[in-house]
Order: sequence, then C-alpha cells, then structure tokens
Amino acid sequence: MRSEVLYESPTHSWIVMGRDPDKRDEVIDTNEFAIVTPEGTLLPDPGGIEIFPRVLSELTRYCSPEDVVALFASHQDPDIVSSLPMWLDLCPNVKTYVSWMWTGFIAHFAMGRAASIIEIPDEGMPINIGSRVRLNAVPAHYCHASGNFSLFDPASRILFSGDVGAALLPNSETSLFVEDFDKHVRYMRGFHQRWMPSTAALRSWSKRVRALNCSMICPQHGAIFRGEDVTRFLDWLDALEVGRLTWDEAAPSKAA
Amino acid sequence: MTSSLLELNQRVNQVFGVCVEVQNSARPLKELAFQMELLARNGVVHAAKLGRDQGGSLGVLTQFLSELPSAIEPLVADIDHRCRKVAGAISHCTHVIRVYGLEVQALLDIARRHGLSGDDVAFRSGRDLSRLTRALSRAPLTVTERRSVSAIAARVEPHVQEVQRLTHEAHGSIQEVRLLLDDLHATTRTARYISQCVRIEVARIQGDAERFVSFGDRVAATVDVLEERLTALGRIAADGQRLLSALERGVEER
Repeated sequence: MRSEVLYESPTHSWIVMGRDPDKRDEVIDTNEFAIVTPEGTLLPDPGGIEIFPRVLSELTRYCSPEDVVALFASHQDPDIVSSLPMWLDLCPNVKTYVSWMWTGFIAHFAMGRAASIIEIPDEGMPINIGSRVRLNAVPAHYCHASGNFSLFDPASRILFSGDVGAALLPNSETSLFVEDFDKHVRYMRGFHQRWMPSTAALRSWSKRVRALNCSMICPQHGAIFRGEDVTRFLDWLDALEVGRLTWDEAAPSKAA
Repeated sequence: MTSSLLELNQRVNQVFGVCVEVQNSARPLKELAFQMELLARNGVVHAAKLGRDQGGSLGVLTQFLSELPSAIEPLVADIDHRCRKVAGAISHCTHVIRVYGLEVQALLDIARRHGLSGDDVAFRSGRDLSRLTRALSRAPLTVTERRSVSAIAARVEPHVQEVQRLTHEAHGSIQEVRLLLDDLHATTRTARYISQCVRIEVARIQGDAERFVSFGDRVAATVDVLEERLTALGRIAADGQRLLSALERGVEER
C-alpha cells in the first residue's frame, strides 16, 4: 500500500493511503485517509475488514493505533466501515461519526463490541479532533446513500467526498492524483450514473462544495482532484445526468 | 491471515461441523426411544390379557422396558445442550482467530517493510508472537512504529489466550458428550437384555405366543437401530475430541 502526506501544518496533517498492490482483484480499490493531530487521529471511511491489516500497518508510519480517537463513515457500506470491529478492538474508546440513519446499521459491524456511535444530523455538524482541529460534516444525501456526508477541513480546504468523485480505475492507473482529467472522466462516468440516484442531490452538493473553495477533493475510490481539476470536476458533475437507468451506460465495466 | 492461522481456523470450523453432525444424529434417538416405549406399553397390555399365570413375568419385563425410554430423553437433551455449548465456543473461537489473524498480519506487514520475514512463524502461541516482536524491537523502527507495534502486540496477546481458553472449554464439553453417549449405550444394552428375556419368557407361553415373538423381534430391531446410531455418534464425537486435542496441543505447544 502506498501513502503520501497531502497536507502538513503544525496542527495537523492529511495522509492518503491507497493503490494496494497486494489487494485481491475482486476487492474494490479504496483510498484511506487519516487526519493526524498531536491530540488524536481521525480516519474518514476507515475501509473494509479485508484491507484492514494493510491500512493499519501503513498508518503506523504516521501514528500509533492507540492515537486513533475517531472514525467518520460517509455512509454505511462495507467498503467504508466494515473494519469497525478491528478498530474497536485496538481502540475501544474510539468514537464513530455517521448519519443518524445508519447508526443501527453499522452497529451490525461491531461484532459484539460496544461502539460509541455519534449520530450526525441531516444538516451536518462540526467534528473536533482535540482542541485545535475542527472539521465539518457536509450533507451529501443521496450522493449515493440516502444518509451521506462529506468531510471538510477549513484549514487545509481539503474535502473528503466519499463516493462523490469516485472512479473505478484500471490497475495501470497508479497515480493517487488525477493527472489527465479528460481521460479520467471515462473511469468516473459509469460509476456516477449508476451509483448516484439523484441529479438534483448532486447539483445541491456541488453548489455547497463550490462555496467551500476546496484545494482538494478526495474520493474514497479513484484519484484525488487538486488545483484546477477541482473546478473541472464540479463543472463535469453539474452537466451530468444520473439516476437514469440506461443499461448500456450503467455497467461500470463498460464505462471503464 | 497467515497460512498457519487459516489452517487453524479451518480445523476449528471442522469441530463446528462435528457438533452439528452430533446434534443432528442425536435428535432422532428421541423418536426411536418413543417407538420403543409404544412397543413396550403394547406388550404390557398383551401380558395383562394372558393372565397372571402365563403373563406375570412378561408383564414385569415389558413394564420395565416401557420405562427405559424415559431415561434416554434427558440424556439426548443433555447431549444437545453440550453440543450447543461446543458450537458456541467454536464460533466465538473462529471470530477471535479472525481478529487475531488480521492484527498479526498488520505486524507482519510492518516487519516486511523492515526486511524481516515472519512466514515461518505459526502464531499459535504467545511465544510465537514474542519472537516477532523481539525481531521487530531489533529493527530500525521509528518511534511511532515502535509505539504502534507495542500497542498492537498488547491487543494480540489476549487473543491467543482466548483461543486457548475456548478450545479447552470445547474439549471439556465434547468429553462430556462422549460420557453421555456411554450412558445411552448402557441403557440400550439393558433394553437388549430385557428383549432377550422377553423372548425366553415367550418360549414358555402356550397359545398366544406369536404376538410376543413379533413383539420381542420389534424391540430387538429398534435396539439395533439405536445402537447403530450410537456407535456412529460415538465415532463422530471421538473425531471431534481428537480434533480438539490436536488443536489444544497445536495452540499451546507450538
């Protein structure tokens, strides 16, 4: 698994971990992130149980597992948070932030361990890591889950977008960042058309996100948008119609 | 998970299969016992019809036979209860091995990053884990990595103990199942003996003997089936015990 520091300041740093060459082919590739502060670490979408050992070992380059104080789940899918029991085993006091809609659902992943799950209300909420880092859970409902959030860091202006901006990349695409936006579109289109149920919801999200003036948009699958590609991505999203089930366009393997 | 832990998990799952097999095979015993009870009660009625002179001893034997099935039912219920206990311990054990395996895998990934290999380690004992953490303590780890290894190892160690505790618990329960099967065997042996006594008594009867010959044969046939099932069950339980003994040795001694 590769990892890179996306942002570093005296208060905190953003780490991305991904492109795991040892991952089994049938397991969808995911990007894992860590927001490391001297007062604790938050893991946005900590990932599936299948990739847990490699995420944990890679994370130890930047912090100890006992430093992990919070998990943020953009939604309830297994690739997002099925590693929950493992994190609870290592850090029994960890807090898990998730939409109020999914608290009872992700509790099924806890495997008998007591999980401190904090409901995020529909309008979003601030999430603090210690006393100096304040993040915001930004509503992303129906993009793609009905209760869905992005996570914004006003200091770095990095937005963790969950499945919005996700791409199903072939193994040959090894860069963690989008290098050629026009080429990258082919890996995103099918995913968004099938996994995003509502064009109106996407437009609403895009409007909210434009106002944040993001430096980077970090999806959970695919590559990170930075610099001008942030605006390019939002423009592309604003022109995209989703939730229309046309079988030829729907199959992501064809789109890829 | 490491191949050694995957193998351990597979063997633990085999024990789960044994439990299910014992439970499934033990349940029809109740039905057989009920059939025997019906036959015996029928025998009591027929013996009464023969009158005190000819049917007296037959009446006592069939009455005794009719009471035997009631001894079988609690034994079968107890076997079912113990098997559920073993299955519960085993399914929890599988879960602990999975968690343990994933955490060990993370430690191995850190080791590989520093050019160490842990592929030869079975990770079935605290000693195996210590070997890896000792090797890691000599590697040029960063301060954060050192803290991480200590934190992960501290969580892994209790999992090894938990696997040992659960396999030991399961082993105890399967031993109890075997003892209960021995008790069942003793009961069926008594039933066979009484059915033979019935046949001897029938030879002395004049007149309505035919009905009792068939009664003795049917009881003997039911006992045959019961014993056949019990022998098969004994074999399955013995397999389970052997598996658990091997697991206990594997977990504790390697």
